[in-house]
Amino acid sequence: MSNDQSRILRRAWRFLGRLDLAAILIFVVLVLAAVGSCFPQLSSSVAADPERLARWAAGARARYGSLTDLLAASGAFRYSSSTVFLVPLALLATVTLVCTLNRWRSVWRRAFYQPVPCSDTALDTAPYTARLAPSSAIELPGIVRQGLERRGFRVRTEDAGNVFYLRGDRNRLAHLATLVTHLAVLLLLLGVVLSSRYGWREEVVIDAGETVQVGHGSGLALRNEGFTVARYPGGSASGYEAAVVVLEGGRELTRGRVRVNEPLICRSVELHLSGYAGTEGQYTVTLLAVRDPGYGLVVVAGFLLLLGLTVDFNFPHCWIHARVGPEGTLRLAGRTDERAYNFGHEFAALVKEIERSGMVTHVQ
Amino acid sequence: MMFVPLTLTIVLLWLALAAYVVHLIRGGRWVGWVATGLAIAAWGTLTGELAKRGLEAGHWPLTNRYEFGLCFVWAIVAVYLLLEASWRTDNVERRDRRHPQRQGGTFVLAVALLVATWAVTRPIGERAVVPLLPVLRSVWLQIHVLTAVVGYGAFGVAAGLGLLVMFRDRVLSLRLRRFAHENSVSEMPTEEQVKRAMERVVALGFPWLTLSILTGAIWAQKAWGRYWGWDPKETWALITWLWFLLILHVRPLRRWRGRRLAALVVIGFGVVLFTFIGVPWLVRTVRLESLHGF
Repeated sequence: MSNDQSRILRRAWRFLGRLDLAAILIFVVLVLAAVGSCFPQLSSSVAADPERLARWAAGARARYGSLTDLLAASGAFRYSSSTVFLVPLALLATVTLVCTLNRWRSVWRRAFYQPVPCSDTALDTAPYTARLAPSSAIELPGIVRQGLERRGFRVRTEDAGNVFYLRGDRNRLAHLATLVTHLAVLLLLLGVVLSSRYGWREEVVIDAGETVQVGHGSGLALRNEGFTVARYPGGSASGYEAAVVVLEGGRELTRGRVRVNEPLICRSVELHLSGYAGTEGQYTVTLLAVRDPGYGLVVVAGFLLLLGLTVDFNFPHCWIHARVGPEGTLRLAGRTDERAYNFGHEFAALVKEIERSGMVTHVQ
Repeated sequence: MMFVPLTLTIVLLWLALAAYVVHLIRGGRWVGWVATGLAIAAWGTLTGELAKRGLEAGHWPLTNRYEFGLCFVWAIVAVYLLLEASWRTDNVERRDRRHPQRQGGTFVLAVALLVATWAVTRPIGERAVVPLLPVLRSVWLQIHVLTAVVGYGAFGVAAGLGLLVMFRDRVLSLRLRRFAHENSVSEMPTEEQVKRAMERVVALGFPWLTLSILTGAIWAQKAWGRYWGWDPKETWALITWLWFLLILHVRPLRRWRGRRLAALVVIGFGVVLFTFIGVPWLVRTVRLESLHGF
């Protein structure tokens, strides 16, 4: 690869890792979703049935007239799978991936490889600083360590001859949360891809006592063994329940009851109660057979996302450097992620606590 | 005549708003305490009303737009009162822990009253206590709707604080012009302090909204066999989530700090309101299909 090519690639990589690009893409995706939500959507089950599709198309034509073809071509009726929507979404996923890869090393270093000693510049430029001088010979590092440990800081020390360094960290691993969040978004999108690529849904209408094949190569068949409607004292329905037998090659695999919100699961196929028709004792039930290999991943990714957000927002990394110089002066410097709203008070309280020991005088 | 707690709640909210307005313009400690007291009383009576309704219906009052609207108000006031109780400790410069910051109360209570007015003007049919539909008889109803309530409530408070960021200078100049006294400036939180409080509340609401969408997806998988169906309500919940995700991403960018960010938060609350109130209207107007009752 020539120098020019590698420079272009580096630039492209940097461009894809930019925060403002991510913000623009988020905005584009949400605007497209908002526009798309204003149009009736053609579901895949309707699209798969020529009769229902014709009815749906006639309805759309009656509503949008000559604009129908243009809207259909632009993907307005299936915006979630249209190129216009998927391209910015794919770009957003790419930007998320690049951002994650870009930040991985620095985040890892911040979480695991923070040196204990610190420079004078770091001590001078920290947003929270204090300089304390002992009035007598005291065990300063021990006092600072106690104060930090009481506040939940993990303390490490290093003796560099005539200078003693001490570093306290709290929520040190919180930096990893941002990686968890970004990875969760990518896993979520992967789950959605798995669902749409390898999942299937089939509506199965079964008359009372009849058996119907599910299809999709599942080899399963369903038998309707009865349907009941539970009612409130006032007469309105309180619940629906279908008794179903699942068969494979004529052999009974399982039997159970399918209720609203309570699907029956057999061989990774979920059976949901979708509808019913008929009269008492002779109900035809409609079951929805679903196989969705992406669902589990989506749920796991969703909870990972939540974990990342919770840690990121509520457990900010705070760290305090302390240096005891050869003359015995203690210098303190506190830094934090910006979400540690109370850190200023905490730092001031720590300094006061050291002052209250009566063994030091505040010189700054 | 019997005292209707909901009417009492609305009256108390209006009185609290009036007290907060006086506190915002004139300052003064005791007016602030009166405002907080009235807001607590309004929250208490609303809690009573919701509990009564829940006991009457035999289920959590989270099953239609009217009930959600009341819970929304409840959450806005609750999140605001919690913020008010904790905000004082953030004031590093003043170190005066006895004086909580109440300056956002005016705008937050105005937001709460906007939602409350919408809720209490629902038609009688919508306000009636009816038995639960079979699909709503699930533990996921409570989890999904309650998490949404908390998230929306936090965004309501964030919008109120966003309005304070946007109008802080005008309020301050009004204070100095009409009621000039030496505490006029020092009593007002700095723009940075209000902005931080606003960001803090957005950071509170965002995970709750995420949890709400996630639990909604799990429930949808159990009830309808798909976790996501691009139903208008689902799409707008995603749009709301994306909007606040956008806010979290532009926050570190220098040109989006301060009032621009506050404006985004206020618009974000508009998106929340559209998701809650506007989507059913959109469904009716454009004749869309939606499985969501509210």
